[in-house]
Amino acid sequence: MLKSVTNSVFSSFKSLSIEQTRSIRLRKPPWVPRAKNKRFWIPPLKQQDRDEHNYMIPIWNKYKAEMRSVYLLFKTVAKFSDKESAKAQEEKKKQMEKEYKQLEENDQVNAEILKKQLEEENLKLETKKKEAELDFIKQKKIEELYLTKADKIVGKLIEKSKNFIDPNNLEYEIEKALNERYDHNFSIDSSGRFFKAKTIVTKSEAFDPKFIPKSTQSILPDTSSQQKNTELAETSP
Amino acid sequence: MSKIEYVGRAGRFLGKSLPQICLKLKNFGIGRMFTRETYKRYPEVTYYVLTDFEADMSDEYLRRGVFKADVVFRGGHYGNMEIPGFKEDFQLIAKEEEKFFLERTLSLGQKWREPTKVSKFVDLPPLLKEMLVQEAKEKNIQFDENELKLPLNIRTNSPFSHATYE
Repeated sequence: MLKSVTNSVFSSFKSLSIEQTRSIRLRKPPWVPRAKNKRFWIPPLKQQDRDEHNYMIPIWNKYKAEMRSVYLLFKTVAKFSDKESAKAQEEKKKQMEKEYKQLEENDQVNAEILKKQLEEENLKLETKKKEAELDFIKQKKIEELYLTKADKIVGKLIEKSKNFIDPNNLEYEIEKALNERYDHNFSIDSSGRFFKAKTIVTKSEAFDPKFIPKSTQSILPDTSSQQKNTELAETSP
Repeated sequence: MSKIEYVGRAGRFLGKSLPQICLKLKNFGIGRMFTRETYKRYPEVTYYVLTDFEADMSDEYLRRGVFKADVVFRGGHYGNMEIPGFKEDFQLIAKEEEKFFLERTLSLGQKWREPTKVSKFVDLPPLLKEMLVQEAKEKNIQFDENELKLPLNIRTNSPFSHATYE
């Protein structure tokens, strides 16, 4: 007859200790499944003697209390512990000194870096100042150039305005323009310079029929040639 | 009856975890009494009176959470503290049966047994004693062998301590 497990289960509720086991299979490989008769095998619950347990507990407590107090004795009075033994204390001191030195070195390096950073920032500021000054000067020049340009344009216009025609005096101006005469007896260079008798002459002097360049008067060797020249100049249209 | 074969490892817990019971009760069972199967081994009475209930609903097995209760262990009061509600050991007490438990609780200061009295000094382990004696003799320290004793360190302040010095 197979034993039902219920009895053992309910009786085990009143037991005080349970052993848990782990099984290792040495003969068979791990991918082979468990045998049929062992698949739902429950490890047996081993019950302990209640009398034995009641006898052992106060003895255990006493032992543990004494051993704990010995440990505390060593820890407090003799200052013994894995963490605070003599060797450990020395190592601690050395490590503290190391850290202190490293922190000092770190501070020095930080100070040097600070210096460099401050210098760099000062340089940047100075370059910015100089650049700003140069830009200011440039802008001034540009403004001056604009002014000169404008002055030129305005001066040209002023010059031209002398020749502006009044719409009220249209008829007078027309008659004046028709009666004007120009002298075309001049030569032009490839670069656009006006020449009259081998002397450079402005545009208005070239077209002017009454203008005579002075150099011809001085260079002229004979008076007869001078007279001829004056006659020529007069007779030219 | 056909033969019954139970499967799986047996344990000493018989019951449900606190959230598994309390999430079905009014006001989450605050004010109700609970016992535990493991504490039924004692002849005296142990029960919890719930005061705080906060279950972790993200748990699929409904075991986790923070639970606080007034503890009465073997008739003696131990005050309000956190209890392990995740253990599937708790049993709800019906309201008609609460009287039974309340009759068997002791008064506030009383406990289920008198505290054990312990002496302050105990004999040293023998090997240690001999080592100390030898050390003292080398350093020429005067001592009395009867006074070489171990001071016992015992926890007397906590609410779970049942020992005192004489």
